[in-house]
Amino acid sequence: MLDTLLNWVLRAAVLLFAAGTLLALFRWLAQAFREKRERWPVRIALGMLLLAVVYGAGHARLLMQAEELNEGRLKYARFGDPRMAEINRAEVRGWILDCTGRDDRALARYGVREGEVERVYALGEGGANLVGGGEDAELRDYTVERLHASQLRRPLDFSEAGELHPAGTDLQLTLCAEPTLQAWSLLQQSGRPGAVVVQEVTTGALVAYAATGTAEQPPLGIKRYLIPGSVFKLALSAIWWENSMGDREMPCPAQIQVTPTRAIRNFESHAYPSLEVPREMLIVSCNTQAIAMFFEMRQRLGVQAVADALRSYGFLPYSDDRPTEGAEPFWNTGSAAWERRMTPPPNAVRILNRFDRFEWGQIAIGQGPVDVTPVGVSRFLQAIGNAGEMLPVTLERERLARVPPGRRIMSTETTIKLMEAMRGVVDEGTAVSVKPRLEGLQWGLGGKTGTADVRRGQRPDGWFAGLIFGPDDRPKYTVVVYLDQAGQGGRLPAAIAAGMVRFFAGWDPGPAGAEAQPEEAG
Amino acid sequence: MALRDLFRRRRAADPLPGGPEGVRIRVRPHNIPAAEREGRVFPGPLWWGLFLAAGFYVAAHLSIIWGVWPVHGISPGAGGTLVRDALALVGWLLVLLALRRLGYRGAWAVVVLPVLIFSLTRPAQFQAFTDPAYQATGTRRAEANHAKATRSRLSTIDRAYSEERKAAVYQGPPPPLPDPFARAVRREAEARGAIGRWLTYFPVFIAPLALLVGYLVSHEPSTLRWVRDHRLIPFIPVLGLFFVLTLFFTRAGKVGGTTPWELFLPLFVVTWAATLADDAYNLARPGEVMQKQRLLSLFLYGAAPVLPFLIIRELGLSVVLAGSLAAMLLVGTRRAWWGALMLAVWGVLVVIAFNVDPRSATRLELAYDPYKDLSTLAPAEQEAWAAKLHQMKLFDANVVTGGLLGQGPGRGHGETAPNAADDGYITLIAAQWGWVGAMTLVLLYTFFVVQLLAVAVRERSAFERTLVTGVAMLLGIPFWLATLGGVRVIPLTGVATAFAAHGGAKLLASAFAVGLVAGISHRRVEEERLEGALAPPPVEPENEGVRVR
Repeated sequence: MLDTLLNWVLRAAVLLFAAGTLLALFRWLAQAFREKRERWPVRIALGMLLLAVVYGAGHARLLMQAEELNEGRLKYARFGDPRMAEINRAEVRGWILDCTGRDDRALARYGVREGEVERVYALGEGGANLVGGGEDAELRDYTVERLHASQLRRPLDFSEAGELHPAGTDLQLTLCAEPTLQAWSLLQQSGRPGAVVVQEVTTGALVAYAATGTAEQPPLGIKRYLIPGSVFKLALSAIWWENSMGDREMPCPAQIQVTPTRAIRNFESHAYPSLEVPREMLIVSCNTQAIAMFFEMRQRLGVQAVADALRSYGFLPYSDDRPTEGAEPFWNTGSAAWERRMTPPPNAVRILNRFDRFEWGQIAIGQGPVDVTPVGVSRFLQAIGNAGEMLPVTLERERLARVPPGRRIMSTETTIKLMEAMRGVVDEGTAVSVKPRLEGLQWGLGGKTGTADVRRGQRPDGWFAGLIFGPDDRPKYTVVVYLDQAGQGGRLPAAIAAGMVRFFAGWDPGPAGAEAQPEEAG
Repeated sequence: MALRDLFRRRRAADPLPGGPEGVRIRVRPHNIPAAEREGRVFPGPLWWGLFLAAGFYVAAHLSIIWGVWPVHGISPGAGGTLVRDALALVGWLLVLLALRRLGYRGAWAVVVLPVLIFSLTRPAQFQAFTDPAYQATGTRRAEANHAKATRSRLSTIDRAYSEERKAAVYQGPPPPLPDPFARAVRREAEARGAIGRWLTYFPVFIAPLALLVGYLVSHEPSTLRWVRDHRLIPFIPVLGLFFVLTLFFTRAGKVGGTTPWELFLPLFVVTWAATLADDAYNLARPGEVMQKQRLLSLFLYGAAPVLPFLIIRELGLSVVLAGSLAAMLLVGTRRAWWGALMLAVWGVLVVIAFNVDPRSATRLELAYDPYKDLSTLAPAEQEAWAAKLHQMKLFDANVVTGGLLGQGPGRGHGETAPNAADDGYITLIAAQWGWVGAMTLVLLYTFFVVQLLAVAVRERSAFERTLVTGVAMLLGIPFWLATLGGVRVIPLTGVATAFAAHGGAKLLASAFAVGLVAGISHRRVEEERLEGALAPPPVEPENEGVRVR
């Protein structure tokens, strides 16, 4: 404390010196101009004053280019940077705490390893692409560790502010260590690259995030565009219900001829004589019905109404250039660096000005011109689970006290119908294979499977986008699973989602973790 | 008795001579005639500046001892450095006291401002030289840096963490605080030898004495007059020694790790001033300049001292000396065309230097295009450029870290940059005191040089005027080269800044030169006092017209 005070007193002394010297210089200048003496030394002196101004501007220029200079230094860091090395080894940043706030569950903390105190990351490779650490930790720049560095390095208190290596301030996240480790473990067991995102529906808090990827790759679940496949049918159904187009029986043929030369088939050419749309369309994921519904919506509602509804759900329609940013902040964050670096590209749907029947049909089944991110899909599901109110995603726990008011994107009635259909998907639909895994649990799972044909001749990518229901039968978490070339969404992805349900059913976050749950956050 | 009274030549309690016999009288200060008081009283603002600077010096040293030493550890000899700095402060204050006692009446700013500059910058130097890794090189430096970092982390945890958190970190007994610096750096210190170490310590506390010697040399006209009349006698041996040193004993621009030629520069300035003073009238006329005898004289006293610097490719110091001599020529002859001619020659030389000398060309690139795109370079070129950039990127980091107000005394990790205490001294200041601190130093130094020039302005004799201008330039030019080079406004030249940066010979030579200026300033005031005393009393203007009541 005394040291900090002394440092500020010394800074004040420096300021006093500056003021005194400036005053003396002005006095001298005034006197030099009044007196008629030798001129050349005075001119040289004036030149010196000009140089002082040049210095001030030159120094200020470096300060204004600080970011550029730091980037330049980073480029050359691999050739040796004793300053960076010393600071990295010597500094004591704040800890990154998980949702429970417990030291023993900290996501990033200090620990002794081979006689030296080192930064330890509890999630290991599982958290490397979001929290930090892992192999090549220094190369990762899409991490909490790096993007929240200013907070983690902010002195703990006033007395630390004057220290040579001030101990930094902790940062508590909404991310919970145990669910994230569980998600990472399930992802590893699947043997496929992919991502698992779990969000709390009432607050938008990110509870678990696990994704594969190397240090050079941006986080897969946040920054990478993927084709959602039939998961998109949830949005389509929401538009249908929102516009009161009625629940009615429709046939589900094996294929539908969208143009004279092109037809779109159901998965494995399944066909049903009649199904109630949209509910049963979602349960069995009937492509031909979805396409027929979408054509009907175009005819009855018009393209603009469909585009507006999609925009409202967070799927931005475009015709020429894909939008690069959404209309509203994606994250509820206090860090400009995080917002700038980690805001995902918006979910986007291309709707051409010139009507193309085949492309319109492709949109209906989430193929072709539909691009989403797993976290973007999770946010859409969060709105469904939160009675139609979409919230920004929160990762910093302290921001839970400042969640902005949600934006209503659909009616509560529509969300109820959607959730009913989603539960049907698990109970009797495309994800029924995981039903046995949920038996005996008070917790439940609903969702929509997606099987996206991305590359010809290869296995499709698999999706499961769902909601986890608590013992009170209310939606508690979203769960979005994406697996690269994993085949049907109802298999491995749905199994991972079921694994997460089993985990949450037995998970005790402890008193601090319970505090972080919806009651406080609302 | 107030501390300030120590600096008064005669305390108020001292009886003054005069008055009836046997009666002791006192003259109150406000009754002492202005002519008697002039220059004797230490000016108030300077007194406060000195008081503040001394306080700053002591407090900043203490802050480093309390806040930096326990965290980073210290180098062997850190205690000696502390004693040296304490002695240096005492030495500077004693010199001011001695000048007061010697009846100094010249410009006080000329002798006080170097002390202020020294006091503001020395703590940063102190931190660098007591840092356990700063003076180590190569693998030893890396070793010391590693241990320093480990120690820092452990000491921070020990200071800031609660017992519970410490237990969570250590999971048992805490690891011992490493202290391998002595081993890492002692070998380095031993390699430098006793003379090398002595040469580092000695000039810092001997510098105040050098100032006093300079003053004693010049406060009476006889010594300088002798040098002026017999300038070849000291000039030729010194120039010869200079050539011998540069031709046969110089390695990487230094002789045994020192730059002894800094000590020669005041003599070169004095002899050049004498040459100009003797021939100023003819040098001011272009037709007369071209005479063979005159050209020989210009070459011998004006160009020959610069040549050894060019031989050892010490571009910075050649600019310092040539610039000083050129400014003296300008002031001595009062001819602007000299200035234009010198600017043109200087411009051509700079262009040649940056095109012919690869070292200078590299420095130019480092100043204006340091962070080259690595993808445009071959792997070998990448390595080579990274090695050249190493120092500059760390200087940049110092400036950026300091921000507006800096990190505080000894803070900011400025010492991680190689040569931060000399070439990059301004970046070390910037890391610790920010833009405000660096600007304060720049303004203070500018004011110091301006005050030296103000002495030149006041001087009537051509010899003294050009000599003082030369000294001002000898201090001002390296300051600007180093300061503007540190923030990449111009290429870095590697010259040392007197009083503000590390550099023993420079400090000694500069202190001596400042002493010379102080003596000349004192003489001018004395002469003006004498003239004032001998001048007829001012005539009261007679009232004219009729006063009507």
